[in-house]
Amino acid sequence: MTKYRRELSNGQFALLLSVPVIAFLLMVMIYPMTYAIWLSFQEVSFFGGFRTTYTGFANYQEALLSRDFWWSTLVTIRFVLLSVVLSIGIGLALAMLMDRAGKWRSILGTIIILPWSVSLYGAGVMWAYLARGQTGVASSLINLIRGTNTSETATEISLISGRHIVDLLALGNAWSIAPLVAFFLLASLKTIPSRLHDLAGLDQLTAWERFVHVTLPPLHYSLFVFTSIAMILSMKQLDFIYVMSAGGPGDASSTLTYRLYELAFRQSNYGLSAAMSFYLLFLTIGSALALHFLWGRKLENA
Amino acid sequence: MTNIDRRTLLKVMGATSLTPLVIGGSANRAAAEGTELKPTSTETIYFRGWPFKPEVVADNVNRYNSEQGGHVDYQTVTHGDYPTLMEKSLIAGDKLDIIYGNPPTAVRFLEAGWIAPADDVPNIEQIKADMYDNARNAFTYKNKLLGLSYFLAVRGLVVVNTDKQKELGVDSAPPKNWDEFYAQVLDLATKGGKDLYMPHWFNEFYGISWAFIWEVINRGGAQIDPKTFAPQLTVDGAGGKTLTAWKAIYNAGLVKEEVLSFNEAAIVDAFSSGRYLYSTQASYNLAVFNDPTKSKVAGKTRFLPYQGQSWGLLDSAMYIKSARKRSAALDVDVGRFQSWYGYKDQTGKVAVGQRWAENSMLFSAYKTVMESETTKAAFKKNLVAEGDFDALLAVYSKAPHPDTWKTIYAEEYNTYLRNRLGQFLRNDESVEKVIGEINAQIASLNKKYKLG
Repeated sequence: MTKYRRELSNGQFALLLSVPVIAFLLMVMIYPMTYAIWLSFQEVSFFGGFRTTYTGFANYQEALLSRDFWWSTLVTIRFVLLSVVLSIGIGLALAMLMDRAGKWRSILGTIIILPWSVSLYGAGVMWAYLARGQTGVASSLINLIRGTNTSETATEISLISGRHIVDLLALGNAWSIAPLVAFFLLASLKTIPSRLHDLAGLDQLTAWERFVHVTLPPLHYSLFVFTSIAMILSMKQLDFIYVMSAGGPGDASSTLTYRLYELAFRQSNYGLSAAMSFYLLFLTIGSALALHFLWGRKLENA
Repeated sequence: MTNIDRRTLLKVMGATSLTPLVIGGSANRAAAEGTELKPTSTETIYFRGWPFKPEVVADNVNRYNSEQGGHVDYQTVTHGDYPTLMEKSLIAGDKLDIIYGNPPTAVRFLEAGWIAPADDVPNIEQIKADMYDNARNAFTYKNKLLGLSYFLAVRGLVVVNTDKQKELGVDSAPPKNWDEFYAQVLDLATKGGKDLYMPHWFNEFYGISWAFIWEVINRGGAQIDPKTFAPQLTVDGAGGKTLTAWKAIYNAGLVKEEVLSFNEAAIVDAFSSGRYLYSTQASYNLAVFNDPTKSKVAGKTRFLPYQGQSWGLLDSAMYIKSARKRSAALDVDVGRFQSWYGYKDQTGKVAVGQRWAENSMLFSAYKTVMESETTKAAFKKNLVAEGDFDALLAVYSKAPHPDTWKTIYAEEYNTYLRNRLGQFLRNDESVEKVIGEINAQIASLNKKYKLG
């Protein structure tokens, strides 16, 4: 009698392959995560010896009642949305540019990957210098183009003012992420058979129609994956914001990550910071799930 | 608050003929005491500093290592959020032996048990005797000396671009106090003057919050009662007047919002560009402003003199010894290095302090440094007019040390102020609301630390 071994489904096989990684992640995450959960229910003091007092859900409640928390949540959402749109948009444009660069592709690729290799600390310093109102190159160029340098009445634009700072941070963040997106999208672009473009030519499709009907469909899955990655990277972004704007001016660019840093490390309010970090975690997981249900599942079913 | 008496200081500084004898005498005394500053073990001393001229610090440390057989490992902590980073390192039990610290940081660290007072370093009695009263007061908390002198300076000195003064036709007597200062700036603005003032409102731990702290004190007010810790700000008092003045110049468009995102280097660059008439700065930046290789206002930068109201505050920092567990031998070695670096070397000279004074215009807590002709000559190189040296000493001698800094929560209060003041300006909030919230924050911190 022949025994048939049950075949693993794709999902089960993927899970099996992921077991070592999951086990490793659990090992390195269980302790800090458990500790953070415990901290979020405590009031912590380091003075007169380390001591904690159980406060129940007081920290979670305090976060929800805090004007600063809601302001930082709004700043985070604006920063993440802009970052994702810019990262994907710039990444796609760069990928298409490299795809058509012919013999210049390797030189162009080297130039394009450079921002990805720059540390976020270094990027923050550089962007801060570029954007500074009176001496920054970028601000000066914009004011020169607008004629505000010479006009007596027009107001000079400062890119690090409260009005523009989040947009600028998102642009800087996208500048760092887009090269990675570009290279992965380029790999997907290379899978498109050239005959599809030939057929599109025979059908006399316009450039836009070719982009929508020939170029974009094979990229959908990569775009979904990198939208998710760019979103999560942006949600947890701290270094660049810390160096470039330090949450300012005032708290105009205080994202949740920056607020958490300030609460925990500058104000030694570990309990509230831990509680707030879980709201950030819920926001991150919630956004990722929403993206999956709204877009990812459609791709799976397509 | 204890201020050094200016007349006394000038009198001593004027005794130039005696100075070599004083220095020579000190050196001889040190030699006579035969204080041993060489390490007793081969264990490493970990010294971590903030990034102000790290090449000079490294050179000083190398000198100790080579001349005294030391094993000091020096590294720079590369970002400006130094107190925060040090606090976390101390909590984590990192290997730290000597760190820098401003007085409020040191008070907090001492209360937490992370640092040891400097009362038992070699030569301590001589060190204390050589310190000016104002410096010793700034460095002392609950009768304990927190550390040895790194530097002192006036922060909040109002520097003046004399070229811009002429250009704007400012020929009236210099403002005597903050009220006159803001009145003059607003008056110039109504006459069409531009780029009149670059305030000290930058986004670092010693930026906008310190500007508020000193202005309240300069106006004769207080934020916290030194004995009961009760909040002291009122809408009609110094706090309210400060915020009202800030709001007036901000809403008049005299200060751009971007300043709230600047770091210190940015406001130094801004004034060095020659664009501004006034700016509140640290006194040691006069060395930058009057250096033609670094500034467009070289030879044209003076400052508002003391005329009955103090300007700014007494900024200072110390070399502090951590309280981490270490072997008895290493503990002795750390104290010896602290004494060598923070006071006199094996030749009896305050070599490190003297070097900072000569090269970077940093004041020292020690009479030995400040009363030397070399220091006087070095300072004068960075000043424009003959009388500026005495005028600077006058401002320095009256610069207050904030009582706020003698509380355990000074750093937390500082972080709160830094955010709250930025919000106040950007959102055009009412002075009453903000004064009320600052007082509430002080009360909340008192409750947190069970004070008052």
